[in-house]
Amino acid sequence: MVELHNVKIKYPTGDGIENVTLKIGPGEIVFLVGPSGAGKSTVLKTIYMEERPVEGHVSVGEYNSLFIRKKDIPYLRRRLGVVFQDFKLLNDRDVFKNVSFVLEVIGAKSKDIKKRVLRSLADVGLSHKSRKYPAELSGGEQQRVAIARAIVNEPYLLLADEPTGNLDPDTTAGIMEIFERINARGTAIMIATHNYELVKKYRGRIIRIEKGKIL
Amino acid sequence: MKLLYSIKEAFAGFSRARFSFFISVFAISFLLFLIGIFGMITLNVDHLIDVLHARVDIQVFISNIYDDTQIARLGSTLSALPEVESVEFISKDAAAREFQKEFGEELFSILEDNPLPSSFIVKLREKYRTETEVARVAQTVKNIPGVDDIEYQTGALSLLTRFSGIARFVNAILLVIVISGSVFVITNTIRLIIIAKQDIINTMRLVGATNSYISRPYLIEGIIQGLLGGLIASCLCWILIKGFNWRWPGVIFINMDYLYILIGGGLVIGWLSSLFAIRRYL
Ligand SMILES: Nc1ncnc2c1ncn2[C@@H]1O[C@H](COP(=O)(O)OP(=O)(O)OP(=O)(O)O)[C@@H](O)[C@H]1O
Ligand SMILES: [Mg+2]
Repeated sequence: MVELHNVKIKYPTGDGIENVTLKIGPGEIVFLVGPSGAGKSTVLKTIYMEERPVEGHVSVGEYNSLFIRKKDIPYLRRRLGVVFQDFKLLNDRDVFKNVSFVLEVIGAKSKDIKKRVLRSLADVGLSHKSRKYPAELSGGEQQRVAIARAIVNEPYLLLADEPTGNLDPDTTAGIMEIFERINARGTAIMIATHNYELVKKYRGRIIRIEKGKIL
Repeated sequence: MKLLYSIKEAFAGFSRARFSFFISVFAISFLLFLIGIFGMITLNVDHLIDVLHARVDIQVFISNIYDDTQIARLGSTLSALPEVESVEFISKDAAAREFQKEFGEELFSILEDNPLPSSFIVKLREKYRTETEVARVAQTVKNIPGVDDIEYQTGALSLLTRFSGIARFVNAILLVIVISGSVFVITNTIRLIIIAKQDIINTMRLVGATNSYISRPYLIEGIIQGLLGGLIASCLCWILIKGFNWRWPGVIFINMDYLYILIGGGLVIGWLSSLFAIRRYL
């Protein structure tokens, strides 16, 4: 379903990742674990094609990094859900509109949008904050909005970059429960984290990365 | 639904660059108003030229010794010229009546005879009603036997024609200035909004928004700016025309359709500018 083959990314600073080969199958849960700066976010970026490999290639569903045209990238991203490490919420609109945005871009019906957004916000326990703006939320709440946005379109693959980084153990457990629930509905999940405790506690395949290389 | 979203976004964009937006609309209004005024001047001059054109004719004075048959023959000769549209005969008596109307009766109280010659008013076909053509035809006519003298006037016409040429030239230059000025201010406003929203735009891309989806609000923004500018300019022109007509009724000629051109022009300029800004900055 998703495959990285000998992927190399090189940032102008000289950092990056090299020789990264991995696979994610349908319905899998995968932890990408490694210390800060290891290249976890970079791996995820190659999957939603924000970074293009200088060597090797990435295939995501029907798309391949070697052949994909720029105008197809939005369509690839619509099939994925991404929880960004820095959340990347749209700070000019409220929580509801942040989540509904991904359905607006695909032209969903407004009745449908409402139902799905409310469902998704309920999943992360933020129904009561629908009309708040991102700036009015705590870090953990913003993170949950990012999660709600990532799952609202029922992606076949959810990429979560440090999704529990700002959360206390209780909320973390709640989030992991959400992930397991949507995984049960068939969504594959890749969680990038440096939190080895998390990895130990929950089931899932583990991929270790250090200094830009898979161990 | 989608369009509604884009329009809402467009208005949200203005609040982000309100100052720039007002400057932009103000500038476009002013520029289009300028074009409006010069356009009106050109239209009026052209209209006047048309009116004068229609009046261009050559008066051909007939030799006093010609009798009626000779005059009739001369008339057909003139009519047969390819440049001539119509020939009208003014008899000695008719000329005298005209003269009397203008100067009173003194002439006839002094002279027994009618000293005024009979004449033809020769009207040329449309395309020959220019200074050079009239002069050329006049020369030809003058050499026809039986023609004593000729008279024609093209002075005002040639002056106006020259002025019209200048007006057109000024208009063309003005048009270039107005269009580039408007494009500049609209593009700049949209650029500012895009810069202010750079992070948001990047995020939109990351969650699957296409460029055309992202750019639609900016397109609408540009159109609104241009349209508002056009509306204000045409209102100003309308007030100007009404005021002028009220003060000096009937002096200027204007076709009010002209105002729609300003509005449409504003719209098109706005649309093209935002297309340009999107290409350039998004
Ligand atoms: N846009 C960039 N330009 C230059 N260097 C970058 C860029 N993004 C990441 N890097 C560098 O690439 C390396 C890998 O970064 P990456 O963000 O993938 O690490 P990470 O494993 O996600 O770390 P963390 O756990 O802190 O999020 C780091 O050394 C980082 O400094
Ligand atoms: Mg990271």
